[in-house]
Amino acid sequence: MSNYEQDHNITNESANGSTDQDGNHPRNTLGANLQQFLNVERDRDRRAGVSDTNPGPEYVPAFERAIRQLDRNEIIDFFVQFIDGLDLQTGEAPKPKGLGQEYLDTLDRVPKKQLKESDSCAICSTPYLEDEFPLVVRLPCNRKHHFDLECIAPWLKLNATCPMCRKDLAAKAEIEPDSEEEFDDTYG
Amino acid sequence: MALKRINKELSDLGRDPPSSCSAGPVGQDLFHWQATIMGPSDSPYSGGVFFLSIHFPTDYPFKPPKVTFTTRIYHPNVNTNGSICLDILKENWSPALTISKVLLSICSMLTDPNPDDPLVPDIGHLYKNDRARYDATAKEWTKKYAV
Repeated sequence: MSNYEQDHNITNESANGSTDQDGNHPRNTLGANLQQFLNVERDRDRRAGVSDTNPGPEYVPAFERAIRQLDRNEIIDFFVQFIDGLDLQTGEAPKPKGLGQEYLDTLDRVPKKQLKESDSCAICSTPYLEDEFPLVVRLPCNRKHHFDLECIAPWLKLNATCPMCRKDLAAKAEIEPDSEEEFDDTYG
Repeated sequence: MALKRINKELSDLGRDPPSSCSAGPVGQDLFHWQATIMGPSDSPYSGGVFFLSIHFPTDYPFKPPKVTFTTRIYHPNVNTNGSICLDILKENWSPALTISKVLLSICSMLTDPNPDDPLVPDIGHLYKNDRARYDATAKEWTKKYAV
């Protein structure tokens, strides 16, 4: 029985987009499967000179195979992404999503000497000082809205809101924060 | 992270339990809890004890817990499956919320239903247009299922 690459007349090299950073064998993830599908399609387009808008029926099985290898949650994720993609194509403004690493890098760090014994992260609810080297950041909305960087990072990457006050931080991210004057020097 | 946080919430609940609610794991699985809410005295649910089931997702607290009533309740925002329509359990979830805060929110939802976003439109309609009949039915259900 021939393998996937032979079936679709592609070289292993062209499927390499689906290997992860460490060069491990690709897992059957949505990304890997779609990458494989896209590689097949690109290869076909090159050879047949078909336009993107008119894919030939012979390549549907490749896509079906990719979909069948996904589990239920991945299929749901796929359709969520698919629908999100449609939103973008219709020219509607994308709804507020998460913030990037660049934003996280701009957050003010709370120095260890300002942390009190009783201060804890609202996300993991662990006192900061349990860690010998706490890496605590505060959000621009309020001086008291501070979290372990490790805890706030995964949240902000998916949601641009402060967990304490739900302030949309994406709006603030556009403009340079002028919070310097608002800082209460007596705090801590 | 999830397990540590759930354990912390459990010990906090033991140390400082909310007045009208209780919650704790069902068995060995710390991701599955049972909770009880006493019907608020200023509501037609007064005198009832309502049981809820809580399932924590593996990525808790980044995703909300799944909370459902296991005791039947006549309420515009709770359907016959026990599903609860409450913003903080969906789009307004925050990782700074805890089970204790969620249960308190459900308590206040019992006192003040939100009939404008009803999970059961008929009950929402009745709540808005014939409060006396809504109160009577809610009391009757409380007596029948929660006492």
